[in-house]
Amino acid sequence: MKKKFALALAAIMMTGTLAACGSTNTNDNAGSTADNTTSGTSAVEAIKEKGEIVMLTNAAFPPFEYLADDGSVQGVDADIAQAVADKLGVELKIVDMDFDSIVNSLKAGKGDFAAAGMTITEERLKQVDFSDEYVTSSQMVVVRADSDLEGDKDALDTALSGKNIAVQAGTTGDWYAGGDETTGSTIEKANVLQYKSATEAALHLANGKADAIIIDQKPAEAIVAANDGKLKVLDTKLTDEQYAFAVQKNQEDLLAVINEVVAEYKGDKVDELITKHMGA
Amino acid sequence: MIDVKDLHKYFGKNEVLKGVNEHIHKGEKVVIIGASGSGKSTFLRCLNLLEQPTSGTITFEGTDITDPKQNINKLRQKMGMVFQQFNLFPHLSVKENIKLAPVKLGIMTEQEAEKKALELLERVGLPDKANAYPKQLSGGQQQRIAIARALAMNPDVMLFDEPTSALDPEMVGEVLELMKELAEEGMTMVVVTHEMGFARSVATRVLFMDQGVIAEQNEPEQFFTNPQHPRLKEFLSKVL
Amino acid sequence: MNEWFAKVVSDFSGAFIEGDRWKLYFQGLGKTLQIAAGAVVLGIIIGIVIAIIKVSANQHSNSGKCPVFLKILEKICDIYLTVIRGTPVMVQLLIIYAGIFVTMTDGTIAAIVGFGINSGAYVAEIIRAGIQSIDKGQTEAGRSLGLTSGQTMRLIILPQAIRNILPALFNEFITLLKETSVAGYVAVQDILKMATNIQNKVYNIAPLMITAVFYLVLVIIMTQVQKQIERRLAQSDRR
Repeated sequence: MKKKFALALAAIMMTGTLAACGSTNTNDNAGSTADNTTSGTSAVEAIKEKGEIVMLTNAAFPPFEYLADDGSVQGVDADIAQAVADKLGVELKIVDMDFDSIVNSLKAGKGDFAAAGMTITEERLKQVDFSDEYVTSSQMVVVRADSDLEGDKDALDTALSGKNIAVQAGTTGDWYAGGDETTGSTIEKANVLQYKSATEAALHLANGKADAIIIDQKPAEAIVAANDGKLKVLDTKLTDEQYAFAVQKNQEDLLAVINEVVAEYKGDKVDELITKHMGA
Repeated sequence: MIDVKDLHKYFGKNEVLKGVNEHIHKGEKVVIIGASGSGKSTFLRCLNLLEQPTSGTITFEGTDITDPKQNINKLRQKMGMVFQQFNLFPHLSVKENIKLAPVKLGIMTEQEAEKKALELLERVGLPDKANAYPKQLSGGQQQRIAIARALAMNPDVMLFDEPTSALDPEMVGEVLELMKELAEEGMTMVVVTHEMGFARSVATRVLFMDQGVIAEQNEPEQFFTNPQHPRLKEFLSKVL
Repeated sequence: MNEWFAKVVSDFSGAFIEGDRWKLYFQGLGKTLQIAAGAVVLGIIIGIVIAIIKVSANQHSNSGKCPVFLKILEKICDIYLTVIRGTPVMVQLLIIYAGIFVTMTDGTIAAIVGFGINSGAYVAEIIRAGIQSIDKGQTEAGRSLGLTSGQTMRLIILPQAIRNILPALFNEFITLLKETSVAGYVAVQDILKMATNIQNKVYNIAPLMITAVFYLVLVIIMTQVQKQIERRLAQSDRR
């Protein structure tokens, strides 16, 4: 009986392993996308052939992406992505998913690029390539309006140690709250409440479940604005980071097109878009 | 002993008993016959309140059992009942089936009940089945155990609801024989049955129920040889 | 093939061994078990109470008279059963977390209560169905001997009903254990949440495969226990 059990388990492990390998292997193959582009054909040609370019995002990160009242995904990223699609002469299709699934989905070829207010990090660079950055951002601390929390980065890290910190799962803020050294965080033993969206984190900060939120600058401003007077964002910047679009590894031609668009938008045009979408 | 006055019973809007009046004396063996749907089983089941009468009174040994203030559980201890489907408890052995109620109701100690159970098993002719389980017994044996179980409470009256209807023909005899012996010992009995031979030889009185009332009753000889009611004549011509 | 195999090994060791990550799975597993066990206990309590109300209301209305308070209780139970069985457990969980335990930081309590309330509805139906599957003649035989309705239930009906109830109850617990995997939505770090966190470091599906194996082992153990119980019940059936 015991032997049989062990055998069955081993078999299951193997099947799982096979599946795991299946996916990792494809990802390692240079430039191969879900639609089985033969090597030699470029990513851009494949997209043009398809007639559409697929953007992966998590539409709960205003002003970069959010669901509009009509159910469509809007935001700074969507606008820039539209410019990329226009440049290629194809339709833009936006797929909304959990933020913490985006990198894996991109790797697995479920989309052509990711535009999700995503920070360039070393760990992500091992998995995907990034375009030039189009926004610089920081992790910020959001607290209830009556909080007297203040200070520089080190003081905040110390003050937040051991506290209940709400974050959006899988974001830089999540890792920062968890004390991940690669983010420069010195927070110790915080109770990290991982939510699916920035808006959920804001809800549970407002109702008292959390003591603070650590989140990117623009979403921080957006959720403070949306919670009329109940929340505030502290001035201290915990990190310096850059947002960029992500593409699968070895797709230089697509990356080049995206970089052209990014160069066009970076600076004033992005600021305009941010202002436009902050009000929405 | 049992006095029934103006008993009515509705199932929803359907009136099954339409005013039954009857008096059963101590020591009587009353057999109730009638077509299915005539209300005979319902009448019997009203006697120990397995069916709640809609109106009317039933007096048992001087107590109005339809009075909600009366403790029906106490009264039922004195009225044994035997069912068409035996209804033995399948999770208990034969002996445990018999002992359960006397012990749990505090009427007998474990030892007394044990002794009583073995006596009764002897009495119904199944002394070797004490530790068997109901599933291992034939229908006839199960029904004899069910009778023993009812007798364990030392009831003053025994109610039989078609006790042989679910039995294979070859097993009917053993159950009727046991009932006959009980009757000879002087037990008060009310029996709903289709066994006309039993009615004729054992009953002191036979009731014919039709459309929710007792249409005719008589001592067995007259009842079977000289029926008056046209419905009874018709019924007897079919079953005899 | 070798390269392929090496990749697998490195994926799995990266997801399990490196940085002592296996500890995180066990931490998450502890949370998962804590939620599941708490919910099972709560579910059984709720289930028994509701089953008693439903069964006794049913018996009373069969005998023609059902007290008003019992009718009201039964109505409340019916509403509860309809709402709980008619809505997804995840929606219930999110509502309980954000709407009832508004200021309580630890989502574990919300998860236990949420899954417990959910499970209670199913347990109630399992117990009720088990009791009502026992032939009415058994109750009549018990009552005709002078036993009270309580004694009849305890001595005659329940010992028989338990044979139908136990296996179904175990199935419910297995389902419940698996359902707790959505607890991550209320900021609880159960085993699946731990796995997704690890996944955000290693970027492959090895953490999910490992989590699947954890669940599978738990379910296989529970199934074995269930089989043992069923075997015992079957033995006593053959007597």
